[in-house]
Amino acid sequence: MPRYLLSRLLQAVALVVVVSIVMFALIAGAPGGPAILVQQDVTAEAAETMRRNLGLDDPVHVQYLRWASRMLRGDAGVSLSNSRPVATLLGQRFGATALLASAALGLAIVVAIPVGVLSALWRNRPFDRIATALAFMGVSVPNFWLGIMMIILFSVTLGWLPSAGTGGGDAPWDARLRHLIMPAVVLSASSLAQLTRYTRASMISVLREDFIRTARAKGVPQSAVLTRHALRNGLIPVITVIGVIMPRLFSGAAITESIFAWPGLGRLAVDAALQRDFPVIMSLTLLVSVLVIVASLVVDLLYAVVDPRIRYD
Amino acid sequence: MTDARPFVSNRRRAWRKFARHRGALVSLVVLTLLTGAAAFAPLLAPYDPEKLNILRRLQPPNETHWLGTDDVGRDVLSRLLYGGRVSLLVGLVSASLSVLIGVAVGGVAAQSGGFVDHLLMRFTDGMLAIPLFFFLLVVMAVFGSGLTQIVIVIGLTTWMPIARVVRGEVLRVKALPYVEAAQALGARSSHVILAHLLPQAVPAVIVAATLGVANAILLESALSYLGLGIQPPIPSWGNMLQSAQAYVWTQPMLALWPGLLIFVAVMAYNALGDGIRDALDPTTS
Repeated sequence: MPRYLLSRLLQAVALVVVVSIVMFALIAGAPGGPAILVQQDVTAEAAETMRRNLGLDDPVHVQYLRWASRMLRGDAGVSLSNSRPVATLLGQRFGATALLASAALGLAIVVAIPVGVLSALWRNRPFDRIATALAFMGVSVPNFWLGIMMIILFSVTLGWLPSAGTGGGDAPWDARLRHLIMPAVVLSASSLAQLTRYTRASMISVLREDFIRTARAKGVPQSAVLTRHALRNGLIPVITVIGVIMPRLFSGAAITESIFAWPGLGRLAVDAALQRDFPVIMSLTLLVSVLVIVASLVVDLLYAVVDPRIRYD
Repeated sequence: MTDARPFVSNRRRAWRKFARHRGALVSLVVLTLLTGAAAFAPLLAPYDPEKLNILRRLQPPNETHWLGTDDVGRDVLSRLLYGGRVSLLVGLVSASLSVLIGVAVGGVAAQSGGFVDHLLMRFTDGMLAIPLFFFLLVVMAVFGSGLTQIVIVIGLTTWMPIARVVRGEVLRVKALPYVEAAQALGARSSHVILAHLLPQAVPAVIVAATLGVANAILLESALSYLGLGIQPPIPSWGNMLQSAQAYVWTQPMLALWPGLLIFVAVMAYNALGDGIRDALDPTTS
């Protein structure tokens, strides 16, 4: 295990390096070059002056190392649109996204796993058919449209839920919860659907295994077959899907936060992209990628802990 | 000769299975209709999709404008038809680009092996680690928005799963005796790849490509919805939804149609992909 841990850690670090090289290549390849990180829509002369001042005549790998070491120290530059340090902006927005994403992930897990298990148990019966159809629609529905339709239904027509914002930091908890409901549902839709499909498939294949038949044949009660034999084996692979869902949640957050004016990282990313605020959008993407890499590392390790059959040597 | 059933080729069996897949057949009909409507938009559209008429803005559906008019008085039905051209075309072309890149990267990695394989696959992993939508936002910010950019950007950011599939298939086939035989007979490496290895990956690639079109349509419409994709006045289902959002309180129906069409098109491509996958999978009946 320690050897596996070490190699998996090294892999994660290597991935971060690859991601940062891709990002830097984008900056270097941009029209105007790395100067876009300091000023928008650079003219030829301004670019020339900046070339000298910023050391842009140095070889590319020197520039990359200088940029990377600054990023490592948490110095991500200054936003071009409001001149504030990028790190401060990211820090302010992080909480809102963390809240929204964990609500969506929690919702997806709490709904998808029971529904997927029941679908597998009641295969081809009405419950399964409806759940499977809904899951199929869930992976196809554009979440921005789902969001607008929900606003039309729950805010415009019924007047039950607010259509935008978080309700503010000092609002009572029930007001904040009401603001959270629609964004969390919209953000979780596609993950929920994907997780349901995966849980169902995994459970169906476990229920076909010989040891399930053996357990039933020797007279183990149905409920014990399900909890002790089927669930334990069927849910382990589902953990890996949660790792796959993480990047999807972040991508979805960019759209969901824009629909519901949710002041998180996703909305910041969209605004930064619209304003061509490169330091912000670049650092944000790098940050989100690192979060995803760390999450998938944790999921992999968790997988090894949960499934005793897996021995990494 | 105990088995009296006549011999059925793989291709024919796949086709029979596909023909029995109700979802896939319905999707095929739906996609034909959508594509037909988009292709013949100039003949079908009652009005010029970009012609403004402020006096007739935000009209509810009526005899002259069957689906009403938008915030600057343009005919919604005409815009939906023309918008379909953009959305479906972007989906198809960018998915094709993504397949081309994926096949090239996956094929080269599998055939070269060793260091090149390692390098290409780590690069693929790195690209996959970047949440796709953020990646798109960065690239759109750097290279600007527009039809060509969108197609290229979606193609450049979605090829990775295809590369993995192709690499896996090629590696599997490479170990089979007939490939070894071809090499022993002195076939050139390029010939082995093009004639023996890549064709085996075709079924998996067709499935990935079909699902890829669905994904590309979703990405384009999401970008256009956010204002980073196709720019008005050119209609796309995504940017129609963006301008409709401002009027959810007064004209909620404006937001219904473009999103519904995206939903239907994406669902149809997904169902088609599922149908093809089931048909090509020899383990299902």
